[in-house]
Parts: sequence; C-alpha cells; structure tokens
Amino acid sequence: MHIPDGFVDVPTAVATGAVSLGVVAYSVRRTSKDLGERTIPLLGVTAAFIFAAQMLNFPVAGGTSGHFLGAMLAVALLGPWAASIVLSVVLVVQALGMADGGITAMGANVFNMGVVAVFVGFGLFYLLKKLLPRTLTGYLISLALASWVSVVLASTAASLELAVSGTVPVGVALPAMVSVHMIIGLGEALITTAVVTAVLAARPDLVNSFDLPIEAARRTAARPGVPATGRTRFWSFVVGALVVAIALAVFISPYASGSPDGLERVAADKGFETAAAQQPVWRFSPLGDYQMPGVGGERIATAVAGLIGTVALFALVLLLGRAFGRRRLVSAPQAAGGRSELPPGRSPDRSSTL
Amino acid sequence: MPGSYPTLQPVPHSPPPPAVEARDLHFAYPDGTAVLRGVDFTIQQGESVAIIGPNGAGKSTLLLHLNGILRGTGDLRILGLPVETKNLREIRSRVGVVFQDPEDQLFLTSVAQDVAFGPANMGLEKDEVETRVKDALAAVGMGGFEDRAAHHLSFGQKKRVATATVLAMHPEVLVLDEPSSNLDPKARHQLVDIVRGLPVTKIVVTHDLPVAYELCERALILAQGRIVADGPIEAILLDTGLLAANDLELPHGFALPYSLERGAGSCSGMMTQRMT
Amino acid sequence: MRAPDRTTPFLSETRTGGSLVRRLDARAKILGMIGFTMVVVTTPARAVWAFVLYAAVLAFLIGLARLPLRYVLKRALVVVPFVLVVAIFLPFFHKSGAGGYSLGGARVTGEGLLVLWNAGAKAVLGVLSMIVLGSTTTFAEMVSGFERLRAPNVFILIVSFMYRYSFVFVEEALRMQRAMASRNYRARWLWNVPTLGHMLSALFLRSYGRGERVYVAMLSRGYEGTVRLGNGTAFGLAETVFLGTILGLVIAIRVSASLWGAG
Repeated sequence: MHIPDGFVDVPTAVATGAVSLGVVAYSVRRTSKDLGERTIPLLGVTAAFIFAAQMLNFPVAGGTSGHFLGAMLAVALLGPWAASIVLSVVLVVQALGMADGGITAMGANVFNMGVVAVFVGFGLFYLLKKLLPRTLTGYLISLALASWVSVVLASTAASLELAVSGTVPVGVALPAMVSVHMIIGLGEALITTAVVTAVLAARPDLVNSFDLPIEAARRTAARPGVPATGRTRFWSFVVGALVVAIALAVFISPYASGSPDGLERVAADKGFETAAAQQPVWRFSPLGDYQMPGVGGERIATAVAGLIGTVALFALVLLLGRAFGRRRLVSAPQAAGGRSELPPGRSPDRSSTL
Repeated sequence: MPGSYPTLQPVPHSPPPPAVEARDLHFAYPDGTAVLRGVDFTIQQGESVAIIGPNGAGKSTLLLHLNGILRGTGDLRILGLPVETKNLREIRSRVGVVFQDPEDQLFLTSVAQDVAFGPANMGLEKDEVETRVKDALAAVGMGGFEDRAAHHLSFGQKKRVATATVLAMHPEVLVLDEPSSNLDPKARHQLVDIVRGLPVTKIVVTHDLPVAYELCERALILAQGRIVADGPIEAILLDTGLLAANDLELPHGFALPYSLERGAGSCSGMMTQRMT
Repeated sequence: MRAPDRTTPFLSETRTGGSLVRRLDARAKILGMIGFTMVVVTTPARAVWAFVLYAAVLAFLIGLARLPLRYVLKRALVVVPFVLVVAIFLPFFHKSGAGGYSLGGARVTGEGLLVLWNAGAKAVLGVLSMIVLGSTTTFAEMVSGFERLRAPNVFILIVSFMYRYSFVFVEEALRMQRAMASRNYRARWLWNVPTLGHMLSALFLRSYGRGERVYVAMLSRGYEGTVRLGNGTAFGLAETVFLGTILGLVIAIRVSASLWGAG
C-alpha cells in the first residue's frame, strides 16, 4: 500500500504532507504529556513489531498477497496519538532504508496509514465500544470491525490520491483497490484481534484502550494466545464478512464498467485536450469544482457504496456477535483464589514485570 | 601545664552506612500477588553477598528494589539513602545492576554508545565519558570494540559489554542477576575473574551455587518472600538439609573446597568434603 | 567489494568501503538525496530528456559510491509492481482523445503513456536515490544525521529502538515461518490467517516483555527521558561540495526543463 515517488502529484503530496505533519507533531506533544517517557521503549518495540509483521505477507485469493498494516493494533495498545507516531516512524524507515514508499509520497503514505487508518479507526472503535455491550466480546468485535475499516479506508485514501494525481483512473482503480483490501482487511481484523486477545490474557494492564475491569480480560482464554471462544465467533465473522465483501464486489463492478464511459462522455463533451500539460495529465479536480453531475455522481456513488457496505457489514457482524456472544468460556485457572501459580506472563525471575 | 588545656580529641567519624539495609520489606503485584513478605537483612559496604533461592522466591523482585525500580512498603535504605524519588538519581549512579539478559541492556546502535549511556546520563563531560568507555571496555576485555554493533557480538561478548555499561558508571555497589546463565565455561571464568577483582560491594542474585561460592563470602536464602537463612557461604552450602528444604542443591559431584582461612575469593583447599 | 547486505535496511556495520560518498557526513547525503528526489518529482513528465540527465547524475553517484550496479538494480525492482498497476489501468483512462495506440483490444493514448512515464520514471529515480543514500550510510550515521538536523527527540528514540529490535523480530519471524514450513504448513487461503495471528501474538508478547526489560535497564543506568546519542563527523568542505553539486545539477536541469520543456 506504500505509494512510490511520482505517483502522487505535487499538490496532493503537499496537502497530505501538511496534514500529516500537523497531526504527527501534535501527537508528539500529546504523547510526551499523557504517557510520559516510560512508554518510549514500548513505542519502539511496537514499531519494531509492526515493521517486522509488515514483512509477512499473507496470500489473498491465491494470487495476490496482502500485508498487515497494524494501525489498529497500535491504537488498541497505545492509544491513537502514540499509534500515529509509531506508524509514521515505521513508514519513514521503510522509505529511507528499504525504498518502500517514496520520499515525496511520504505525506500521502503517512496520511493514509498513520492518520486516516489510525484516527478514523480509533473513532469507530471508540464509538462501537460504546454501542456494543460492555463485555470482552463487545470490545473484540469493535476492534475487529475498526481494524477492517482502517485497512479499507487507508486503501481508499490511497486510491483517491492516486486518482486525483491522475496516475490511475478512479472509476476502475478505486473499486479494484478497495475490494482487494476488503479481503485483506479481514486478515487485519483477525490478526489484530488475536494479538490483542493474547496480550489481554497475559498483560491486560498493557492494553491502553481496554476500559473494562481487568477480570474481563482474564476470562478470554484458558491459555494465553488462544482465543478460545474466539474460534466460533471468528469463523462466523469471517464467513459473514466474506459473503458481504463478495456481494459488494459484485455490486460495485457495474459501477466500474460504467465509469469509463462516463469519463469518456465528459472528455468528449468538454473537448478535453490535455496537450498543454506541464503537469501530469488529466487533473481530476476535487469534487467541488465539478459542474458535471454525471461524473460527480459516479464518484459519490462509489463512496456511498463503500459506506453502505461498511454499515451493512457492521450490522451483519453485530447480529452475529449477539447471536454467538452468549457463549461463555472455560474459565481461566486463576479464578478467584488460586494463587499457587503465577499469573500467566509473570515470571519475576525473568524481570519481565514492573 | 599539661592538664590545663583540653586535649584535642579526634572527632570520631561515623561509620559508613550499610550498602543495603532492609527492614520488613513487602511487595505485591498490582493484581495482589504478594512476593516479598517481610524481608530483613543488612549488607555492609565491601561485602560480597549471594542471594540464592528457588525460582519464584522473589529474587528478581528484590533485586529490582535495590535501585528503586520497584518500590515496596517497609524500610529500605541504599548507602544510607531511603529509596525515594528524590534519591533515585543518586542511588542509580552508585548502584549498578547487570541484568541477566545482555540483549536487554544493549539497546543503542554501537557498543561505545551503550557503554557511554550511563556516564552520559550522569552528566559527565564528553572527555570523561570517552575515557570511562575506554576503561570499562578494557576492564572487561572488550577494548577496541567501540564501533561494533551490539547485535553482531557473541553472547559472551554481549555479556561482557553489558557489564562494561554498568562499570562505566563507577558504582559502589554492583548487583549481578544470574551472571553465569548461558555462559560457556570459558566465558564464565572470564566473567568471574572480572568481577572478583572489583573493589566494590557485590550482590549476586543466582541459583548457580558454584558461582555464588566463587564470588561471595556470605549467602542469604530467599524463599517464599522471606530471608530464611543468612550466614557465611560455606555454612549455607554445606547444610544439605537447608538447601534441600528450599529446593536448592549443589551440582552432583561438586566438591566444595573447604578453607579454614577465607581470603577475598581465594579457595585454598585444606580439606575437601564430598557432597552426595 | 562485497555488496551491502540486502536484508538489512541500511548499510550493515561491518561493511568497509572506501568510497568518497561513504565517508561524507550523513547530513549531506540525506539532504542531497531527498532534495534530488523532490526536484525530480516536480519535473514535468514531457521533458523526457531531463529525466535522462537525472539518471546520468545518479549513475555518476552510483559510480562514485562504488556500488555494484547489479545490486542497485536488483533493489530497484521493488518499484516494478506499482508501475505495472499503472500500466494495466492505462487503457481505462482516455478512450477518446488525440492519437493513441492499440495493443490487443485496449487503446492507449499518448497522454496515457505520458502518465506511465511520469509515474515510472519518477518512481525509479526516487527508489534509486534512496538506494544510494541507504547503501552509503550506516544506520547509526543516519540517526545521528537526522538528530543533528533537528528531528524530534521522540522520533530518534523510537527509531533507535525499532532498529535494534527489528533484527530480533525478523529473526524470530523467520524462525517461526521455517518451523511452520517444516511442519508442512502452506498458507493457501485466508483461513490460515488465524495461525498467523497466533504467531504474531507470540511475537508481540515477546517484544513487549523485552521492551519492559530494556526500560528497566535504561532506568538503572540513569535514564531520565532524553538520550544524548553520539556525535559524528563534521559538515565540511567535501560535504558542501557534494551537496552543492548535486542540488546545483538537478536544479539546473529542472529549470531548463521548465524553460525549454516540452522538447
């Protein structure tokens, strides 16, 4: 998902860069104040984890592959401000050291993965936590959904930036990118939830966003790292989400095939001649400048489709979650009283506690 | 007249404070698990003391109290200073802790930077810091490794560099957490030789009894959160019943050199006593 | 001269190199290569000859830095998939419009090809310039360079730790992948993601434990919130010449492209 140099034009690069810079600068201030210097090592470690995890590709549809983004993982564990810093650091190192993502596209990449994915994901997460029952199940479902959305939105933003820069045609590229990432997003949701579940089981005090009583975290698994209830719920989630994603892909492609014709119509109508291009060809101006309801409508339609899809998915998963959420787990060995063995993850001889 | 003037008496200078003085120290994790349940002991400056005990006894937890990382209830004084926020900076510059895993202590990009970290935090001048880095690395036999990256070193080398990072701060009290773990015999000897020669108070937290014997004169047994034994190390290690009661044992066939006179770490054997 | 290690993001510490570029202060290289990329990206795509000149400047740099060409080109391949994506979508752009070529059933206009050229050339040049930077600068130098360019302290700290531990995690991740492969695990479809999730959970918990222990070790050595990392080389004449030459050349090319552009 990392955009190379030259794929976004200068105005887009500057605009996204300015926003990203502002957000990250503010995050730096916020982080130092709220979390204190204590978390700097933890931030580094999370950054390393996301960096390493992003190198693991998982296959999607037996041909393409996706990679883990990690925005919502960082948010769940560190909160949104620290998360945006961590993602930015990862992206900068990837660009400078591995030539993964362009320098001039840094603003766009940070915007997509460090601002949009993080803050919109966080917002949705926060909202869902309030709407869903305040149990571990509700928390995990909120997290899973927010993770999925974060990936989809990051890819949407990337596609829009590419389109506005004239590098790819929006009508085809946007649906293609987004549908692929709707599937990649499932992986993200699963992995994020699995990791946070494991951390909750071992060290619930570390999960910044977990605002339920600590015992709720313990009930999550008989063994740390294995979301025991998770199994059934995740399967139903995956099945449900897949059904919806496929349905969306089916419904979106008619729009895709429609768009080039729409654009062609515009080109013909306006006698669109781009010969004088000193800039990348075919500037696709922001929505406000458009006089052509046809084309404007296409873009809006695509966006609305995405929105409907997300809401539909949410509703579907919510229903599934309610249906399966009743199931209670095997209670962990350290139910009230049993202090004969140390809580999982705590072995003081390894100095792993503070 | 000889008797009419008051004789000037030398002002009695007060004895140096103990390196560590713990009274009724308690500590529990946030979830309520009690680890230290009333720990009492005193270690004078210059002593070399082993704190031994089975896993889970609270050794590492106790160790983390010695420089204020963890703060329990009760009375704890390090070099006469109560362990409070205002004293932490000084305590940490005078008490050096070498942790078990060198990976945790080498976190900067080059060896020199890691070793310089402590002195730099103490606010020393650049030249002084450089000198200390050089001296500390030489002391552990890693002179010349300044520009190497820590992750390219072998385990034994990392261990020595980690020790240097602490020595560069010139601590008065040196605390070692499982110093011999994962070291091959040669590296173990090297480390013991390095530590033995240091003129500091030594506290060795370990369950490796032979190493404890090599480094220390006195041993404390920590079990179930309390000090259950405190005495000369030979006495402790020869008491098989005591060891067994606390899930400790000497390695099979280990012959404890029995010395009637105890020099600083010398093991001049006059009698040996077979341990079964 | 041995090619730099491909798996590490930056020049590995043990690599010796006598090239002039290698010995420059990192700040000059950072500013030079980033400046280079920025100027290239603002260049209008039509001025094709300008890009040829940029490439020549880069080739000169690569030679000056004594980087093996095959190594550089191999690393530059990362950009290929992205360019392919643009190429694939070209026919969808402007079905009408002046000129055009037919490839199979799809029609690609001259304007479309310009889009491809714009994206492709800039992406490749950007990647190459970063390769030059990354292959002539060690991580420590890079961090020190940014620190002296006044990057925020938080970033410097996070980057330092991230670097240190990314090796550990990559090793762990590879080890896990090997273990899984040797048990005949082949990731086929999305259903295997839960396994990946468990793997990553374990990886994460380990990293958290380490982070905490590192923090304890830092506190124990007097850490109180700031880290003053080592100094580095000075920004001297060689650096000024380097920076001035690179920026001077590319700016000259850029300005020429505007003045005599659409050649």
